[in-house]
Amino acid sequence: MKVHWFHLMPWRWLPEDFKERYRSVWVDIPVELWDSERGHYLYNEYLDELEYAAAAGFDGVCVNEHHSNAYGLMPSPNIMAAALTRRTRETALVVLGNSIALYNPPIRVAEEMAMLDVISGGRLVAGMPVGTSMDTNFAYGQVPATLREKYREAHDLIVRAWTEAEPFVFNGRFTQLRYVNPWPRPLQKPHPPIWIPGGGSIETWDWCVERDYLYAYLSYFGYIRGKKVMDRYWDRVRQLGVEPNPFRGGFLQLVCVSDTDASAEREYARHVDYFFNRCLHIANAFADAPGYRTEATIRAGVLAQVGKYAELVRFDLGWKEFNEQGYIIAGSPETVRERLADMVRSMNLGHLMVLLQIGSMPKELTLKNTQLFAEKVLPTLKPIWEDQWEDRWWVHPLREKARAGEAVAL
Amino acid sequence: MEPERLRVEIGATGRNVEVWRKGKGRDVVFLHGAGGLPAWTEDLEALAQHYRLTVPIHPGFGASGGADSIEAVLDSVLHTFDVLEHLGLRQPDLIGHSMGGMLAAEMAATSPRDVGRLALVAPVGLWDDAHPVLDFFTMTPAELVPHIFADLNHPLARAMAVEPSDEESLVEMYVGFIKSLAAAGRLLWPIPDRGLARRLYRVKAPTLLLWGERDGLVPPYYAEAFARRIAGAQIKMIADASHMVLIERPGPAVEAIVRFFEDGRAPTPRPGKKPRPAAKRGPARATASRGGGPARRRVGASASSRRGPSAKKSKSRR
Repeated sequence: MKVHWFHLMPWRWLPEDFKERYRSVWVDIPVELWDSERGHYLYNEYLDELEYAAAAGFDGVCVNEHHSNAYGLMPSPNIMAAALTRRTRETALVVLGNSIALYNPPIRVAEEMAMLDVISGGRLVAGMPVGTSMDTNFAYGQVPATLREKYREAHDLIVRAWTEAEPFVFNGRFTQLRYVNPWPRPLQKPHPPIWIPGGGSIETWDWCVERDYLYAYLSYFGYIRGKKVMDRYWDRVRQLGVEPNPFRGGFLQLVCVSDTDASAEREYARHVDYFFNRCLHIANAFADAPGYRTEATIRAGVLAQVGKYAELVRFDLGWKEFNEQGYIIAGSPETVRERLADMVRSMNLGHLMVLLQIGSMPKELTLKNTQLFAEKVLPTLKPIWEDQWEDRWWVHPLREKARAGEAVAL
Repeated sequence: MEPERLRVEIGATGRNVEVWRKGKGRDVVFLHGAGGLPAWTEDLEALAQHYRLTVPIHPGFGASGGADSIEAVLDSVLHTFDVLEHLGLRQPDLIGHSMGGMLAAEMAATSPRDVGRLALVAPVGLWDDAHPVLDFFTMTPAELVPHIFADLNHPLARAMAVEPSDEESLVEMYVGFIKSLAAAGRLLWPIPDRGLARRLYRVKAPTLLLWGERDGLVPPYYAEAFARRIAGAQIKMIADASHMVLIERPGPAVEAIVRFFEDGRAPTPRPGKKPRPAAKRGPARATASRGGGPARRRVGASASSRRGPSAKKSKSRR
């Protein structure tokens, strides 16, 4: 299987009374809480961590897109991926992803991702989420009722822009172009693997299977809840008559590795608490713009949504509950190995994303978590599925010899 | 107290719409707001005592379909004209509340000759950074109540403020509310300004701007903002009322509208009778200043006149 190191890049200095004083970490969080000098330090530290993870042997390093959000400081994941292209060699750059409906015109995505793919020597994974309501409707003003249609149109344009041999006209509802002809084109053929981070809707699953895309469920609530969604995904995959290749599924899990189970709490508890109680403090007002979800989805879960968002605001859980209920997998390397291996097998998971920098966690602890994971957990996980399934959702980079190095003769 | 509920299918667009109708007399059309219409309310009943009231339910609201193809305000404008044409209404007076007020104004600007008089009740459609319209999209029904009702004890205010205790009703309430706002979002998201300010100059309809003095959703500031841009527009403020002024103070609100619509007009002929003869309207005049060509049609040729019996009088009121 493949294991990827996922970064959110949270602001680490939200005050203790953040939940009481401010209504939301996302959309209208006051900029008085931002400090550019600290930001300079933070971004560079976070890039150090990603590079460390790459060197430590993770298959991919992941960046993502958020707007007006203090738990995710990457409005432009492509800028971060670009910063990593020349400081990594083998590791895949998993951009997970561009909220393509927000790029105007969407060929911007086609172009930037092609650049990333070419400069990196074919190591880009092209993630394309619809994007949260907070990002798309509130921070970026997209009409909720038409967002998914706009997303689909953007996707179609991007894939055509990557694959058509001649300049073409695009007469869409949301974008009209006379000469679509991006230079450069991606290195990987026909294009980088496309991964779709999504929620739990059947329409998304059907589309992923139809297009042969990887479906990734990126929830912060951990594998015990997440398994329910993934089980339904695999049911749907089988129903559609397609083989349940674990490499067509991705999932995110928060992990804290320590020397012992007891020391894990000492080291990580306050950062986990910061993450769930400050990073995920999102105002109900912004959680779900009217029209963002289809009526069918609303009917299926309106109470769950209300309950869910009530939950987002009000985590009464402590370290023990977070751990027991699977929000985090925390403990000694043995504990983490066992739980993750079980999780991966029971979820039929081929692409695991781990969040090892959590909330207010400083660099030193993040690197320690990463090192322990890389040395003591990763080797056990990597061989899973290897003999049974082919990973068709992975990068195909240039061979080492063909790569740009210090002196290249062409 | 219930209206007739019609289903109308617009052949050319395939849109299937629900239309409510009640009353006799002059044709008046009521265009509802972003929250939809919970029921046939007291204000609509009062209007139906004076008029043949037609209430088209906008695509995406209630049982009206066809929201998917509403891409811009023009689609709503043309769709609503489609419905009125289908029903055989000619130059109806329009009453528009909130989002419906924006729509009515857009209709009057797009096709000035196809509408009679306008009553815009707390319309949206203009935007001034210093007077933001409340972001009602981010609020639950209960949170909205104090901003749209002056009297929190009004039965509808009370109904909106309390979540139903049984799950099924709760789901229905939320789904209905979210559906309506989702449809409204096509026209009003992220801020309720689609450029109406550039088009209001075209409105020739005699226009009344009606507002609750305590409107906490669309500031009464906008009454002036609209009036400035529509020649001859009148403003009427209703005391002790907020955004739901028609429901809160149906007596004074409906009276103001009826008085405005009737002022200086002959009553509409009863069904079956011909309009008054042309002779009473005075000599034929050249039609309005288009560079002085010959009159395209005679004022007074009643069969072809598009303005109706009181055309001359209403012209002079502008």
